[in-house]
Amino acid sequence: MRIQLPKAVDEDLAADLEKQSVYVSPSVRGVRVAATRDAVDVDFVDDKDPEAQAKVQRYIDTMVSRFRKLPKKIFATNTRKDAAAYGRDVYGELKKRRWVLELGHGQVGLAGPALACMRALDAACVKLGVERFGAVHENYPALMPSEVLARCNYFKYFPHTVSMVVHLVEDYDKIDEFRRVNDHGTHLDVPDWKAFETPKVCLNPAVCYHCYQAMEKEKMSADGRCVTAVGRCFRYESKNIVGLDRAWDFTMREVIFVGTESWVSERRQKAMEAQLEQVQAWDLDCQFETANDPFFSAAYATKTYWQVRNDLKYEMRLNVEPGPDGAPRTIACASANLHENFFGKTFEITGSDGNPVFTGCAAWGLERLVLACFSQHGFDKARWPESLRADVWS
Amino acid sequence: MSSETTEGRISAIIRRVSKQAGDGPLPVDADVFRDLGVESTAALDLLFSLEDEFGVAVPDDAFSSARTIGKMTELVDSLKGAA
Repeated sequence: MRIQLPKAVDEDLAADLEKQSVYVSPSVRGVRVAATRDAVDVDFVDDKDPEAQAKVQRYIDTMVSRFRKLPKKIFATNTRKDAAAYGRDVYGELKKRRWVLELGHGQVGLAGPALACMRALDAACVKLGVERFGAVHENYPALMPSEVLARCNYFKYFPHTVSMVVHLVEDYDKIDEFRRVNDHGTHLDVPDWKAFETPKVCLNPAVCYHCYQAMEKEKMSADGRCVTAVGRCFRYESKNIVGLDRAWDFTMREVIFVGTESWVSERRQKAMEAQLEQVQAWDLDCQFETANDPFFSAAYATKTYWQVRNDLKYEMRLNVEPGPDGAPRTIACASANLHENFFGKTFEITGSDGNPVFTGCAAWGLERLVLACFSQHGFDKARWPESLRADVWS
Repeated sequence: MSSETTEGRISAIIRRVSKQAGDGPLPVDADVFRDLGVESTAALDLLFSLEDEFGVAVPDDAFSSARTIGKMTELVDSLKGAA
């Protein structure tokens, strides 16, 4: 079914319209924006389902009507020296070699040179944080109190991606009933949803929240503090989950800045310059540009406008293997972010100037970087840049 | 400050988008986002409200740098003059 848009949309909004449509209704198989970008083609399970149609209409109105396009700012681009074409079916080849282990929906493990690659990339990020910014190491749990995520406005702006952790209530009969219905040992059966409590914890969707939480009510004497941490992060992306591109459970390295506005802002800028030097050393094609987070559709237009208008987020998009139709593809593999003083106010962290601190971070999605490396340098050791070759292919 | 002046009408918009009660004067030199409680999610509402109220198209760059009621008044008056 074709639905006319209230106005033609730009390339980025078109991509987000398609991407976020997976959260509209189970009765929607897919949404494609027409080439003219003034209409969408919706694949309904049942074309005569008025409820699903109404949801799609509300979704489109919300995403499009208040969206205000701002020009994209390009911080930098890099062109690799490796002249060979990008690999095809790189993910398939990684699986065939058992360097990628598919273990579930959005749950992917690494082994062999792919794992070595991830470790080498992470080591470079650690070096960047420690040597350039004096970062200190911290380590965080995968779990995060729901109350903390709520205070971070995560349920307000990203409710669609949250992974909540539940457990059975402490009740002998309910636990025993659960045990009995799962006696078959083949899958999970839930006999009574009341046997679960409202989740008090969630899986961590980003590394840096824990850092700010750990500094709650702190009065900083120095102008700023830099921390680095790596962790598993969890974002549910429904039908968009695919391979190493978009996993539910993935690894993120962050270098986190907490301090006065100018201290954080200067370091975010320097971090972007350092991230660019990294991809030059890794010899990867990329574009480093302003971007927005995947806010839920109801908050998409307003939050995206603020984020892009104020240059709060830059993403490094790296070229990866082409899609099944041969079309070129890029994915965001790293970012450099400012959060203004939101976390300073939320966690009552005071800076040396007596005001709520500002925060920012540089982040790397390590599995995506691995995919970009193998997409651009292939499986021939000789093509890999010296900065990675020995570590990946030893 | 008259509610008929540009400044008065902008103050009324700021009150609405920041959900502030009352109708007393707001400081014209205060940063509306940092000091007057306009949240980031209300920035777009503020921009659309200025355009609707005064019938002007506000360039995004100019809106970005006009963070006080005083600067917004100057901006809107200049856009009205240019129209």
